[in-house]
This record gives sequence, structure tokens and C-alpha cells, in this order.
Amino acid sequence: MTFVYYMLVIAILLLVNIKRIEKIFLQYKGAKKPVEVNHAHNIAMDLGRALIDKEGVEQYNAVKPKLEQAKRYYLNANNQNVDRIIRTEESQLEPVKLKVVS
Amino acid sequence: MFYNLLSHPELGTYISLFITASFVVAFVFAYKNWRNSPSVFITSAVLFVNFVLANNALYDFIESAAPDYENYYLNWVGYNALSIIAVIVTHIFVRTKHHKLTITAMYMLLINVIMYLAMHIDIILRGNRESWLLWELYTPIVNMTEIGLAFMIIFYSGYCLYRNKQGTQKEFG
Repeated sequence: MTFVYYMLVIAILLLVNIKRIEKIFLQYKGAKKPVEVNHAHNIAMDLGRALIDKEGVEQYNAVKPKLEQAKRYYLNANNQNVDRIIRTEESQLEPVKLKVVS
Repeated sequence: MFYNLLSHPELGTYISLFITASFVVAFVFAYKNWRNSPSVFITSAVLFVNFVLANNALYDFIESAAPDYENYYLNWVGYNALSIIAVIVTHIFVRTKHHKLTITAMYMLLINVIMYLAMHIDIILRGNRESWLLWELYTPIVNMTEIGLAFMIIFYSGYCLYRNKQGTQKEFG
């Protein structure tokens, strides 16, 4: 049963050096960090994707609503503070869907 | 604070079962709240496995599995040390930061480990059979620590769930 004592020593060493372990393993390049982006980031990403992936009329159709979103984001964010939100959550500054006008 | 469990052996079983049940509840609560704090969920999962496997009260129902009296306390030392290692290693693999509650829980486990080790040295290695201060402190400290661990996780997860529910009601309700 001597391995129990070794295990205990290892546990205490790990517990005492927990911050150093975090620094070594969690703060290198490529470590998974919680994704916190705001709505502006999403709009910029969608715009960039549309400009690269699509061309012509398709590109215009993809870009136009995003530009509309950017305008509404500006109108909202100009008046109130912008909170950082998690990607999965819905933003308070999420623009309302446009009504179809024939 | 002193209560003699030797005169009421059933009481020990009931306390042990209560602790196991509270760890089941803690695990369920932490599972519901794992998006907010995965660290607490990992801790509760490891502790749940620890306190269900290393629980002598459950062995009372299985007649064939008699406890090993030679390494009675040393087994618990092993289980608790292993759970501390398991929590830290799982955090490294999943790449999450240790929550404050996790670190507190592990230090509380370490208190338990020290108490088990002291009892092992006193009773098994030194062969002492007379009650003294350590024996009187052992039972309340160990049980209160375990109950405290479970309820800490339950209250934290419950509070987070309640707060999030309030937040969503405020925004969308």
C-alpha cells in the first residue's frame, strides 16, 4: 500500500502548484479559451465571408442585409454601451428582422 | 461537539447514505449548470464517483464485500488523493481554468485525507485502542467537511441557475 503515500505526495504537489500548472498547460498558443465576441464581430465575419465566398449578384444579396445590420448596430450602439456577450447568447442589440415591403 | 458513533452504529450508516445522496443532488445541479462553470461540473462528477465507490455504507447491503480492516482508513486516503489528482488532470485535458470552488473543495478533501492518515497511524500502525482527542475530532470534522463540500456545490449551482433564470425573464419574459 506504499503507492497510496506516493499518490498523496503527488496530490499535494499538484494542489500546491495548481497555478503554475495552469500557466504551463493553459496559456500556450492554441489553448481553448472561452469565446467571447460581440455582435459587431459577427457582422464583420459574415461580411468578410460573403465578400470572399460569393460573387456578383449573390454577393450583393449577401452583403446588403449585413450592411443594414451594421447600420442598425451603429444606431443602437451610439446611444448605449456595448456589452461583451458570449457567442451562443442573443444580443440585446440584435436588430429586428426587416419587414418585407412589396 | 461530540457524538459517539460506536454506541449508535446505524447513525454512521445513515450519515454516510445522506452524504452520498447529497453528492448525487450536487452532481445533478452541477450538470444543469455545466455551461456556466464546467470546472465545478468536473469536480462534482469526480467527487460523485469517489463518494459512491468509497462508501462503506453501500457495502453493508452486499454481504460478500466486507471492508478491509487492515487498510480501512488507508483506502479512503487513496480514494481522496486519487480524486484530487483526477480533478486536476481532467482540468488539464479539458483545458479549463480551476474555479475557486474547485480549489476550495480540493483543500477540504486534503483536510479529510490528513484526518484519515492520522487515524491510520494511530489505530493501525500504533495499535492504539483508547479514545482520545483525535478520535473525538475525527467524526465531526470528516462528516462536516463532506456535507459542506456537497452543499457548497449545490448552493453555488442553484444560485447560478436561479440568477440565469431571472436574467432571461428580464430580457425575454
